[in-house]
Amino acid sequence: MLNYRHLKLIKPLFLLLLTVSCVKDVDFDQARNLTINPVLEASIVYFNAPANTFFVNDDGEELPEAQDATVIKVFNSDFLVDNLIRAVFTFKIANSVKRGFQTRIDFLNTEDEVQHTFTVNTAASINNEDVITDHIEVFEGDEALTALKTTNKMVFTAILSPSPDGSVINQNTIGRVELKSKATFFLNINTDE
Amino acid sequence: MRKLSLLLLLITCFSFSQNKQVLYGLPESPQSLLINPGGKIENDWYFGIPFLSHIHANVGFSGVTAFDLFADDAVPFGEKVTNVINQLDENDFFGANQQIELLSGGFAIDKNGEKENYLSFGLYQETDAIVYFPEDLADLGIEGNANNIGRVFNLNQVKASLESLLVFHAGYTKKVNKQLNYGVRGKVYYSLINASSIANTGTFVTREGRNNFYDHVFDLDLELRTSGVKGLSPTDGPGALLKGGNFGLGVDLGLTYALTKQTTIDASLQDIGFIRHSKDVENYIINNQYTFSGINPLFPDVSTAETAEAYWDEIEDNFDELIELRKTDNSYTTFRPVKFNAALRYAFGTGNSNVCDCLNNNEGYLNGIGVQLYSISRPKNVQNALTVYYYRKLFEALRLKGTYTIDSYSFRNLGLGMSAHIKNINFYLVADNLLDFQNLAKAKSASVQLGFNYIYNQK
Repeated sequence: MLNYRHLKLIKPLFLLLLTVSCVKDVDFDQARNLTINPVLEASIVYFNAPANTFFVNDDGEELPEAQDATVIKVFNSDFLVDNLIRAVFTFKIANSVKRGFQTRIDFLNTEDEVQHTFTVNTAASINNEDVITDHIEVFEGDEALTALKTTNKMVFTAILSPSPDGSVINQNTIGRVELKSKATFFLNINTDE
Repeated sequence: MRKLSLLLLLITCFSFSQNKQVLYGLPESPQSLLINPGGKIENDWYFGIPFLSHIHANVGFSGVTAFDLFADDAVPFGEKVTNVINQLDENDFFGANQQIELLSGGFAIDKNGEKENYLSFGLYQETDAIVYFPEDLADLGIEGNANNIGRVFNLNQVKASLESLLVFHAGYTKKVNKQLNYGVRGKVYYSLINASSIANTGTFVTREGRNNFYDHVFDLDLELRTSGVKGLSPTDGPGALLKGGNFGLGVDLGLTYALTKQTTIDASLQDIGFIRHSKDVENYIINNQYTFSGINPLFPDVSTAETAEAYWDEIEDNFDELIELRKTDNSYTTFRPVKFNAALRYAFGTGNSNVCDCLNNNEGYLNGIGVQLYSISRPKNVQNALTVYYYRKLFEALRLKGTYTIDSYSFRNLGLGMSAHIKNINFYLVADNLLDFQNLAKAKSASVQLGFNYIYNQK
């Protein structure tokens, strides 16, 4: 049986264990200030249509200007408004119509006021082979980012360039226009905010 | 003077779970019968001091230490998080286990003073949690998808379970002869809380698209099952947990076989059992697929406010459907983590009067060495541990056991335990990861066990 003498021997052992054991050189408070910088990439708007479906009016005559719009409620979402520090939009336009055109892309707010706009010039196709036009639009700095973060609608307006040979677009015009777009969102997510 | 059977020793619980390799195979400790119902019996009867007979706690993270993440240095926290995430993979996990024995006791039913037939019983509460590291989701959250075009993010890495339960048990241990003991323990489980999300599948991938730059392909099949959680509020007292009312059954099996007087092998299986969850069940299911390529606004009719809005609404509806949460109250069954223990032991060095003059148990050896294997079934795989130990009777009333344990996560886990005996009261205390004891932040896991029992032995 254990007697007092033994206890005296054990006690310091346990005291030692209890006193030397601790958690040190760590700072758990830093977890409150976590910053991460993911980069998201997402497809945005796309279309692919023969010229004779949108550069032609109901009477079969050439329309000098075609327009379409789409509501996009992601740019002014809380997540992007709080965390987006830079955005890069990439557009790729393929044209196989023997007419050049200019594409104006407007970013509108909920009041339909233009927040940001730019145009992309696309050359006419020769022999109905694809002419590829790339455009990169960068949103950086307060002004551009604020414009993007108040956007909830993108409007695409295609304006035909003058015809080099006098020909007009009608129901029989060959060729199509294809547009692809993506956005790269650079984020700065801070748990402290 | 009555010879008292001695208790326990040490225990290294090593990493991450219910591994109690010190208790395992130690006849001095009544609690060893809970690990191997076919263990040796050395007392006539005993009872555990209520709520104090066995207290066990263990916390561990297989991949990293608290120090890796929270070191008080100049490195920005985000960088540490990124480093840690880069170190971890989908097999890493956080685990915690806690047990407290509320009642326990045992007695030999032979009238001749032999201990050939022994009954033991008790009630303990256990909480067990395991959360696997969802590597792909973490990478997606930290890096985003831009640099991961074409990478398939797997949702089957999302695996977690939490259970808290009461276990009522009764066991029978039979000594067949001097060589062989075997035993069986029946268990009734009473689930207090269960939440598990194990059988998840699905993927997310951003790949080169046909109509647009990318197709974003979502395929979600996720399920969280819960019982005893519905309607629980933080203001409820512990009593609210008792209304769960889901029962299960289980069994433990074990045997001990003496190869020679000094060499023994033993093995046991614990918690071969299940719990049927049918009351207070609430399950959450997401099971949808969606491929997003962008917004296609071009239709023959030129823009109107309605159509512009409609394009978006359609997208929004699709995403809402993708993450639509369904609730069910379907019954389900969970299986308890099965534990396997086995050991080969060798005892040597008979009593030396300089050390102790009061040995009178059958073996009478002062030293023991051995090797033990521990395995536990987990949601993802079987986890194993190998332990070598040295056991020493320092005085008849004080025994020590030191262990060295390896598993796939740690090769430097030293454990130490002691068992002391004061009159009929036995006390044991065990801790592990002693190399990191001076700064537990640098340990991948830490565990402690202690307990008090009242033991009676005629011999």
